[in-house]
Amino acid sequence: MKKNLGLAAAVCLALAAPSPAHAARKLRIVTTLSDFASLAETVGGDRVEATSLAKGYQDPHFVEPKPSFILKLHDADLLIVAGLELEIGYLPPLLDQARNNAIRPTGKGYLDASAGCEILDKPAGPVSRAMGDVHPYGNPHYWLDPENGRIIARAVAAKLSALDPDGKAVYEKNLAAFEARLTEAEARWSKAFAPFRGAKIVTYHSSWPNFAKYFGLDVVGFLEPKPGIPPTPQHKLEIINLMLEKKVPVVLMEVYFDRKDPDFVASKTGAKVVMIPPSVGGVPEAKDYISLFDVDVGAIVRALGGS
Amino acid sequence: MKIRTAALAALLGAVSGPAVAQTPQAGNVFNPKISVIGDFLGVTGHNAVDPMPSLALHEAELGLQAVVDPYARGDFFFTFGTESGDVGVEEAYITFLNLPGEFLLKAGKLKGAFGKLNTEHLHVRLFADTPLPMRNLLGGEDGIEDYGISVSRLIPAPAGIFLEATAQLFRGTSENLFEATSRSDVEPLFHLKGYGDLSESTNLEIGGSWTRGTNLQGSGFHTSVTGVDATLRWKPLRRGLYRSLLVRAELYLSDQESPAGTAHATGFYALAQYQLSRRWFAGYRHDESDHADDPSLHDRGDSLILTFWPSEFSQIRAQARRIVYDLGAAGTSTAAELILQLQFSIGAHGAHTF
Repeated sequence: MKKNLGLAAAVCLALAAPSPAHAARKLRIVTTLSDFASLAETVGGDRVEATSLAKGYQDPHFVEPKPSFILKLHDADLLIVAGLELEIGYLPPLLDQARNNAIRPTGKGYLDASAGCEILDKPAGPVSRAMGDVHPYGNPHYWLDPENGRIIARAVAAKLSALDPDGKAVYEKNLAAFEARLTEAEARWSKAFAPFRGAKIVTYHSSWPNFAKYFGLDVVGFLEPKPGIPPTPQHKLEIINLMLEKKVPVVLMEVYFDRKDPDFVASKTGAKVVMIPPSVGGVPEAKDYISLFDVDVGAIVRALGGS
Repeated sequence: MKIRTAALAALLGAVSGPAVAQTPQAGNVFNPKISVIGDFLGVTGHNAVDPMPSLALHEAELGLQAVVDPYARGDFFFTFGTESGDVGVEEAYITFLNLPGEFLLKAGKLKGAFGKLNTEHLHVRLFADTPLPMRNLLGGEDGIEDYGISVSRLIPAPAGIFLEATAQLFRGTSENLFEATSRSDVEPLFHLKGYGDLSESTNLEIGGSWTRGTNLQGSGFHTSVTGVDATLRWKPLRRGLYRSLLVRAELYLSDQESPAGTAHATGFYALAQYQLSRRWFAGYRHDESDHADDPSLHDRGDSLILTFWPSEFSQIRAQARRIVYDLGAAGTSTAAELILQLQFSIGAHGAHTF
């Protein structure tokens, strides 16, 4: 009995302990994707500190809802998400346990980065899981279009200015500098891709439609027979035949997939496998949003025969 | 021409209904997320002590989940079992997500926050059966599942350690374990959860639990159960789709009072699950448990488990298990069985807690 009372008292004391303070000189930003954290740091400068839950080299659909993320969310002033149900597998229980009303979807510290962006592959008719792990609101890998990056950066600047009006001038200045660098970078990427516009590629997962549309690449097939289903022998054969028929020179895949099937398909067709990071930090060289495209554009252009 | 067009429009309007703009049906827009998960079992082999039916829809879980209002969410999980008339409320609770003082409060029918296995809905388990310590010391397949209130809070801890304390108060009625005979027979339950990232790929969770309620012997006789749980997870982020390891162990210590005295019983299970490839998982579990009322009786079991996920929404599992039931003076009874499990889900069942 005494032992139980003692334990009960200890638990009561623990429950009554003061909670961690929220006050921070820098705005604390938590994002799901590393790309949003990079854009947030670019726009926010040293008025913010940003961290992402997903690393650039992991599949962003399958992030574990670790309790350590709850601590990050608990202290955050702003949460930036990709939306379009990309995070549906892990974010809701984290938000439910975060004890932070501001970053809930209805709170002032929540930003869905997809708002205002060009979203592709919105299903036209009825949707069912017979289609595989389909995204019912459109393809969520939209950050891979630099013009969407521009829109996201502007949205971040507006949100930061709303949360921190004192920093508005800084955010606008940083945004303008970023947009200028982006425009300059877009010109150099266009120049690099110019000889290869219309090039046909096969991708592992349907995660490059925005990238392909912007850079003028033609995605003719996927190694996954349906989204989320690993390549089957039958489907690999179909893809090989398709690639031979259409003379497809490149198989594009993310760093977090297994190369065995892409290498097999490439060996039968003479194509090159290009394994690139889809997000900032996916390889060390992709250290921010613009250098992510430098890495990806460079790798694809080299595989297509450029330099 | 204009009159003809107008007449045509009127005719079309009459045929298709009143001329209203395309709006989502207001009645449906607040519908909860609906999900149903089926758990089908086929069992073959020999078990004289605790046999399962040869073929059964072991459970169908219907989940209805939605936000109630700006302050709370509501979650309902109904289970439909094997026998006709076998309908239950697994959990049905309101959650206030952020009360003053950063308390998270749940109230309703809840699974007790005792250890890890007790908190898991059947379809989340990494095996098709119920480990011996839960069967013997926590009342059976459902464990501690009762009407009550749960309050939890994050405790400040250094070095990025996650520490959460939960205090629950239940009515004190849990199948085969507790039975409240009066309003004062309430059952308190406490749980402390500590979690830390050892690296970006590896993490460790350790928990301690304690509960006490009036047992089936009647008013004045209590059972208290203490639990310790540990879970180690490894999942290298870059290869996370293809490779992972989970190792978990839980220990239960039960003190059951009866007119004859207090029986101190112990039970534990240890589980390891290794991911072989994108969709294949292999597991092994070892169980041991005393009987709650007679600790001299000690059951043991071992299971080999193979699970295949055709997609995220279905699983096919084969479990080969061998259990030695201790019958005391009557000796032992050995069960050797093969369990085939099919689980399939439809609708929008969200993710569970880690």
